[in-house]
Amino acid sequence: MSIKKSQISRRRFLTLAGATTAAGILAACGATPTSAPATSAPVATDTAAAAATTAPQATNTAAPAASDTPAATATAAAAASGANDTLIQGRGGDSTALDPAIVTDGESARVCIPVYDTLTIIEGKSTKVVPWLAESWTTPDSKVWTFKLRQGIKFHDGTDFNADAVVWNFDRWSKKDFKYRYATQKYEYWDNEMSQLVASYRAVDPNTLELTLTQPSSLILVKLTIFAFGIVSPTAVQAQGEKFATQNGKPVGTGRFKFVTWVPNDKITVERNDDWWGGKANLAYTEEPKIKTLIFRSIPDNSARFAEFQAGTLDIADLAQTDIITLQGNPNYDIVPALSLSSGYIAFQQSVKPFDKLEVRQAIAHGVDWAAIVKNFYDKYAQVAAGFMPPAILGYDPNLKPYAFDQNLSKQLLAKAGVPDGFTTDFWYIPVIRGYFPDSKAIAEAISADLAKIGIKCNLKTEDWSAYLTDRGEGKFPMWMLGWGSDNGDPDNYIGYHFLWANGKTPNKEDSYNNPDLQKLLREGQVVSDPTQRAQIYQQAEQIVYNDVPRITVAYVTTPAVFPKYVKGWTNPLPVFRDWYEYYYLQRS
Amino acid sequence: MSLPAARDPILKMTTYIIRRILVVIPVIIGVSFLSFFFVHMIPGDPVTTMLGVRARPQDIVQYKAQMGLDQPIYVQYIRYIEQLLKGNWGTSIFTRVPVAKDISYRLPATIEAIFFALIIGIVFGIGMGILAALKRNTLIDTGASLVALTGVSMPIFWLALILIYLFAVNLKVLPPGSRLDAELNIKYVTGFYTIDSLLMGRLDIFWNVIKHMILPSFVLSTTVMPGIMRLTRASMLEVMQKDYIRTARAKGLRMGKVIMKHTLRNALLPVITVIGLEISGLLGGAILTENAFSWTGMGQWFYNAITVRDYPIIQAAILLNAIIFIFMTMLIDISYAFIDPRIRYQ
Amino acid sequence: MSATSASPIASGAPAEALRTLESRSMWQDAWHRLIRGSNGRIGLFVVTVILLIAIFAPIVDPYDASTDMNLSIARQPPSLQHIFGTDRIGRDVFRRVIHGTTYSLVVAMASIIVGSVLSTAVGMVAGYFGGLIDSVILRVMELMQAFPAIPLAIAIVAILGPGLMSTVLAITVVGIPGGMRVARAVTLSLQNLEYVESSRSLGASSTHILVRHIFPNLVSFVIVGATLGVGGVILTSAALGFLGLGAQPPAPEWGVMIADAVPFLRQSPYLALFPGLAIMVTVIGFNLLGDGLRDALDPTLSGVA
Repeated sequence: MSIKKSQISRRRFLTLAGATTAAGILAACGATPTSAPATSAPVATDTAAAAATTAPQATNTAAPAASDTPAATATAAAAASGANDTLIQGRGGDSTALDPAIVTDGESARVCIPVYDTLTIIEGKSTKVVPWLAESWTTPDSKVWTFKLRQGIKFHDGTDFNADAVVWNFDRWSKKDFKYRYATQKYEYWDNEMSQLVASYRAVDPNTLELTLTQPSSLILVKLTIFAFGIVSPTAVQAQGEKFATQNGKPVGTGRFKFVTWVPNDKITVERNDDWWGGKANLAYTEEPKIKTLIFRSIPDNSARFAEFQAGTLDIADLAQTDIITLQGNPNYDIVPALSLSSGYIAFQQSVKPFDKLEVRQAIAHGVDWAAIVKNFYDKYAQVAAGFMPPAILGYDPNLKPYAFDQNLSKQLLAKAGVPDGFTTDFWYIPVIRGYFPDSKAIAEAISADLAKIGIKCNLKTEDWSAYLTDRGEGKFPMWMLGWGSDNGDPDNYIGYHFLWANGKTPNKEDSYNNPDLQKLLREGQVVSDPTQRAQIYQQAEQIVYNDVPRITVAYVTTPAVFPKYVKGWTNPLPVFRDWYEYYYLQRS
Repeated sequence: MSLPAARDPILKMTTYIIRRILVVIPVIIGVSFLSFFFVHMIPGDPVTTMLGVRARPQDIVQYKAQMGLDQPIYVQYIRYIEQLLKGNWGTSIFTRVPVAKDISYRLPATIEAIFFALIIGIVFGIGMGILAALKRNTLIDTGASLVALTGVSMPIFWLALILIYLFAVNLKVLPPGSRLDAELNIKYVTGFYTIDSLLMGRLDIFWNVIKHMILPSFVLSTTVMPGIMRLTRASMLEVMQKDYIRTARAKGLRMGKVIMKHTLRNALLPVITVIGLEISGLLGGAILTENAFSWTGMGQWFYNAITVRDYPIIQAAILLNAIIFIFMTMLIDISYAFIDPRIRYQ
Repeated sequence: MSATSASPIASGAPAEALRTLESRSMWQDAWHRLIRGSNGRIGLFVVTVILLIAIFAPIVDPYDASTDMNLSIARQPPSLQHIFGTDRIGRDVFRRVIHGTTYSLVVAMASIIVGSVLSTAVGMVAGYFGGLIDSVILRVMELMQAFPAIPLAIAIVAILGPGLMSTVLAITVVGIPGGMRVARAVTLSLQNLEYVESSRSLGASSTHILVRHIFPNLVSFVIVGATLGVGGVILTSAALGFLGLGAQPPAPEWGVMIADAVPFLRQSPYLALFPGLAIMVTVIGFNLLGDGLRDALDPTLSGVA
């Protein structure tokens, strides 16, 4: 995303925002594979696993044709026959609440998105901002913005959507003493994204909203797409009070799906809103959902989720890449590759011996058979990396070649660094499965087995995910693995995010990597607008990182998704990450 | 041990039961303190976990004061107990859902699974035990012993995996996990799905619940089944040697009747003994079983909380596990007293 | 599942069973009884084989798990070269199962031995001195016992961090109360035997009495309890490993091996099959031997549990 608060505050925000909620973290650290969350950082794709995938549900199973299940499924006809279908999504954790204003975790966001509508939205086929609840907008000076709201829209509870409702939502987000804002609630997205930007708001007439910003900015349009600024029904909040959209309450928005039931820790069921305005609005970039019922099931255990997917009790599921690869060649599934916008890397803390020595880092770079690792663990869904950024990102340098596997060279380098017999180090591997490291433990084992042959003995360690990210940021790891997925395809969000110092003065504690030339280039990259020139700048930066070996990029990853053959409608690959539930339909033969 | 007959058995019994219940109180207090202490020994800072690393120092100070974390540990403990007594178990760090709320959903799930596991264990255990005793030293006897031995020696998580892949993934005859098909909805009354589905008057849902129950409860039942089987067999053999049984058989009474009349009553004792010995195994097994079957009970809850360091949940789960354990032990002791009056004098 | 619950003699033993025998003939008798019963014989055989494997595997085939990897032969089905197949990173599963024996037995032995020593000592002290000491110890044990084994072990591992040492410690702590009760019960019943009293009246120190007179009578109980406990310990440590809280990579631990195999259950079931069988066979062996030993060392107890 292109939120240009200073790079510093954004970086801090992204790194640290995650620490508050489990899922937030994932996104913040590029944890999510499939994702390029164009809306906003901490909206992770999913907690536990990596890719969006799937499973059959019908034809086969034990699932008894209970009286609740739709009757019409049978025929093999066309998409139309699926009008009463149920799609079951398996995921790693439950939502915390379904009130978009107060949640920050990905598992809540993904249920809020279909239930609520925002004023603007990212188109999907591109990252362009397009009208949504706001039909159009004008601004004379980029400071005062006038939004024309769509008319005739109703919330799921039957009340009217209008400028008053929007203003009421703004009141709730921004006024600490607002009657329907409760002490236990935190409005992090508003506080972080909007509070500095929005000076005032008012309803000009029932269908017109006017926003005045603190300074001219067009960022407001993209910020309004963030799910957290989905418009909730004021009547519903007034009626439910603090319970609104919690496990004891009921979420009410204007979205394409409406809430049915929530069994805590188990499942959330939503159902197609047949009165949805968007289906009738005749917009090129949206459709009415095809499925009737959408169920989100929480299954924290990765292997249990995979078993359910294979048993056919989930139609789509967040799965580990390892799991997906094992389904290759199985005629019942489609495996679909996604965009390559992420990479996994090994990093070093340069403030401790012996990683302060360039030769040691080079020795490691040449001491591991990266090609073999990529082939074995990622199969065809990744390529061996050289530079830090994957090919899809501006500034990718095709001339850089992966570090050659040459253990004799490694030994010479170690000798030159004064540690001819090697050394022992802690090597931290991520405790979770991510697209960029689909099987982190086994990959760590493979890397350390290669390193053991050149005398570097690794003690493999891990700890829980939030502690892992925190400790890594604090510079407590000598050597560790992590990865990054692009938020928006921009190099400033990739190499810049990792290597541009926080306040322009001191190296980050994380790796203590210190190269002023690189700083200069990355800073230039933020200002220069000519794409060719910019590409050159970032290629030079890539070259420096490649030479200094502060990190070894292992693979550029294409996280695949897997669907049972009968699940159709997956649009591939959209640059904007969210779950495109409206496009799915089931077609069983 | 020969003991003087109680003058007033009912009074004696009541005294025993009351005494047994009173004994529980200090243990629970001790356990609450220990579990509180345990959680405070877990490395990591709950405040950082709660507020995030970007929290400003003054916020941290304020939060600590608000939560009483700046107080000495015994004060914190007393506050914690105060809150507990009010029914406030704290709030999950990650989901911000009140822990008490989680408990209200998860406790029935675990109890239901354990209950069905016990039923399966008792039925099959006693059945196999009797059969083995009757067919002593035949292939059936050996087979039953083998089954029991295998059951007690098999890693429960491994058995769960095998059964899931066999019956759910490959044969697709039983569901791989969870308590109910996702498409079905249950009206939540007691939290026990078997009961709730019947309250709804929906036999189809009840049947679905049972199908979901089979694999997890069977896996969990392996903690008690072998023990029950072995003890039943042993006590059957013992009883069958007794004169009155031989007499009864000699009188030409049908074997089935004899068994029913004399031996089954004696089988109750081994069952209770084994359950008493295996409460700990059942609760531990629940963690492994619930994870494997995505069963939304206490075990899954506890394990997930450990992996993300959700302190309030860890604390609540440890304490609850202990309390369940203590109460089950107490129930076992009391039922001993009913079945075998000699026990209560020990 | 747990070491505690595996002690079948916890309920206390009849006093007449505790007669002191002339020790040599007692052990000889026991040996004969052990190998006469089929349980004992099979158990003894299995355990001997397992112990031999555990002891000699590292000597015959020095194995360095940290360098073991060959990605070019990853996930191959069982064949003549790799009779159990190869795993995710091309390690020979047979070799790892064999070396996992050493790992499991080290964990089991360490926690059983430390646990038996501690629980016996504490139980003897409690039973012998009685009074306040006994009450305090009993209350502490009651508290420890109130925490179910696996949840307690998981909590301990959460405090200490995962690994070999924490696994051993967790399992040891979990097993202490059960053994302690047995030791205490036996000590109590020996207290008033004539020769103990006479020895006391002759001015023998408590230590002397405990070590010379009481301990020898306890040995058979400790041995039976320990043997029967091994199975539970192996299951618990495998469970911890499976949950990622026990042995750390690349250690060849059976529970960890099963966990690593889970994604491949459908394509390569052998990856999970063999470590699971290894656990089962080992536990069966120790359980049979324990049964046999119990029957052999204390005929009056046979048939109970």
